[in-house]
Amino acid sequence: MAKPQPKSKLSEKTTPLDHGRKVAKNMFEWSTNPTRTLWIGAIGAIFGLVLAGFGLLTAKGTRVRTVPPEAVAMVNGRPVLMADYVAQLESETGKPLAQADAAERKKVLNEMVTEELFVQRGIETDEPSVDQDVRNALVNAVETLVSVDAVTKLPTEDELRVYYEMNRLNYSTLGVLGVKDFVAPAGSDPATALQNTQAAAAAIRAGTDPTIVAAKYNLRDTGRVIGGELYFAAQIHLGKALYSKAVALKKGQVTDAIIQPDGPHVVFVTDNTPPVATRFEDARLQVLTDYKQDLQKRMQANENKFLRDRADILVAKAFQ
Amino acid sequence: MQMLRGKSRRWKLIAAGIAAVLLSLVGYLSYWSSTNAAMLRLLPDSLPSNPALYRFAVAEGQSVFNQNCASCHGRDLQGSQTNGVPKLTDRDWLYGEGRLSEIEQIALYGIRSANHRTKNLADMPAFGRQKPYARYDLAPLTTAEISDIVSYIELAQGRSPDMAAVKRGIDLFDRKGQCFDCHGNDMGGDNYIGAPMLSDKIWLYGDGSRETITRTIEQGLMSVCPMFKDKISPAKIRAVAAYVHSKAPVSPPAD
Ligand code: HEC
Ligand code: HEC
Repeated sequence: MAKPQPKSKLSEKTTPLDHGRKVAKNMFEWSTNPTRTLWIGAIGAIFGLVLAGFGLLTAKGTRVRTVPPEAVAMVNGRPVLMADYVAQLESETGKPLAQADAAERKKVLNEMVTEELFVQRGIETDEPSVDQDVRNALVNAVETLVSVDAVTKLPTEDELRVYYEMNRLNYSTLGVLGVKDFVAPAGSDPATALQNTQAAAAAIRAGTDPTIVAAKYNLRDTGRVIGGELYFAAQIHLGKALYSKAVALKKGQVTDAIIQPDGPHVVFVTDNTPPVATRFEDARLQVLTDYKQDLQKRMQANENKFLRDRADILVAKAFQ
Repeated sequence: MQMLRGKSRRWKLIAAGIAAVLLSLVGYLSYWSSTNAAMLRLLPDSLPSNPALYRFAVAEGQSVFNQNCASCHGRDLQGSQTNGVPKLTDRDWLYGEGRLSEIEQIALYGIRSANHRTKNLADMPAFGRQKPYARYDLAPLTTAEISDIVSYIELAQGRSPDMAAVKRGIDLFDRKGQCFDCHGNDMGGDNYIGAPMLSDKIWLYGDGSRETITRTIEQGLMSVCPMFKDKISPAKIRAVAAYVHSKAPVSPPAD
């Protein structure tokens, strides 16, 4: 701090020792100068006050005796947020706070205070370890909480492309199958019925209109599939056996007679559009959604691993 | 002693300077925290009618927005139609009417985020998938059916699609697809559950072309806005809500 005095003000022949003395003397004078000492003290005090004040105003947990500005109430030191209160009041009364009357306001506030009290009491009595519903809710809460961070930023285009490449099979259109399914009428003689359906299949193959053929051989249209249906829906409606034969054919083709518990069937294919892979550009929206959901699942798995790693888990011998 | 007196005057000046700086810092901090407190103590929706506090909040909110929200919504609040992030500068609110309290709720709890106070009542089902909707059973639609519905939406957009397709589309919209249930019979949307209007020119995803509308219906949409409740302070949340509020026109005139 104390700089050596300018040369001109000192005797020409100062020794290092003299110089040292001079510095010491300056320092001494510096601290005995009363005004200066006061000033320094004042600055220090102000600085301290700034720090303390800032700490006090921003620290959490130092305001329990008052209601902080963002809250409408404090319940054992925990705030009931004004934003929550306003939202709850609106959803309960259906009107904005400004239009709610005093009784409505009081009612909602009371409910929120009660909820907070009950939650606090529940923690005191260790509800989470006894009540299965509470446990489920907690598990859910932690699962979702862990995955929140997965969505705080948008994935890059490259991340999405890599994800698409790795999950190519998920990105295709759904196949569509349209058929007319004919069956021999219930109660007919099994042998004649089989003969009739075989003849009908041959006639359709030879180019006769299926409806005319059906009428001729006395076959009934089951109407199980109406128009074009997605593969899985057609499978449910037709049953596995008929579906697997029909889906292997092209539009305009017909199956052989297929024996079923309700009699022999013959299935004419009116439409068969197999699924096609979707390009990244076309699937991007779905990729984005899947990517985010997958990321959330991975984060939950990580959390599980993290908790296991730091936990002390002992499993009885017989159950290892 | 001439020299010493000169020196002590210089010292006094320096000290006075430092003290002044510190004092103004104290002054600013106490102004800042008391203004923050005053801003927070108001009901959110009365903030805009308090010009001084509103101005303060909007100014504070800009940097909060740039730090926390701009990565998705863009510094210009224009959003991104390729990622389904909405513009925040139009009258078309997915949720509510753009009141400050509504924006503050979203900043606090997000949309489809983890908290039970978040907005999470419906998603856009993926009708091209075997199981279109996770929340309840809905039948998937074929490519042809989706194409008919898109024709109906195109008619509502004032274009001139094939009218036979539109006829089939209306039936699908009102029955098999159950589109009316969320988007309304008039395609007006539902700002309680966040289902957008389909008859206007504002698109959350894509540019309103036949192709992108088809994609939304096939692949679904469930965009997420993160919650910031425990990430940023209540004052910053209030401020960023004020900033977004200041950038958007107030709710549409009743018509
Ligand atoms: C990870 C990206 C992301 C970030 C970060 C983000 N948002 Fe969002 N935000 C979205 C998406 C996506 C939606 C649309 C949700 C939907 O479609 O339902 C949205 C919707 C909103 C809406 C509702 C718009 C409407 O039309 O109703 C508001 C308001 C909003 N965000 C505010 C914010 C604020 C304020 C921040 C910062 C504190 C923020 N968002 C940060 C992605 C984000
Ligand atoms: C369960 C409710 C629900 C049903 C049923 C539903 N939607 Fe939606 N739809 C939504 C929601 C919610 C969004 C917005 C999703 C988001 O914000 O991420 C949306 C978004 C859309 C969009 C995108 C609009 C835009 O601005 O980009 C289109 C198009 C659409 N729906 C069409 C349809 C059609 C057509 C049907 C019927 C086949 C349908 N929706 C059925 C809830 C639904």
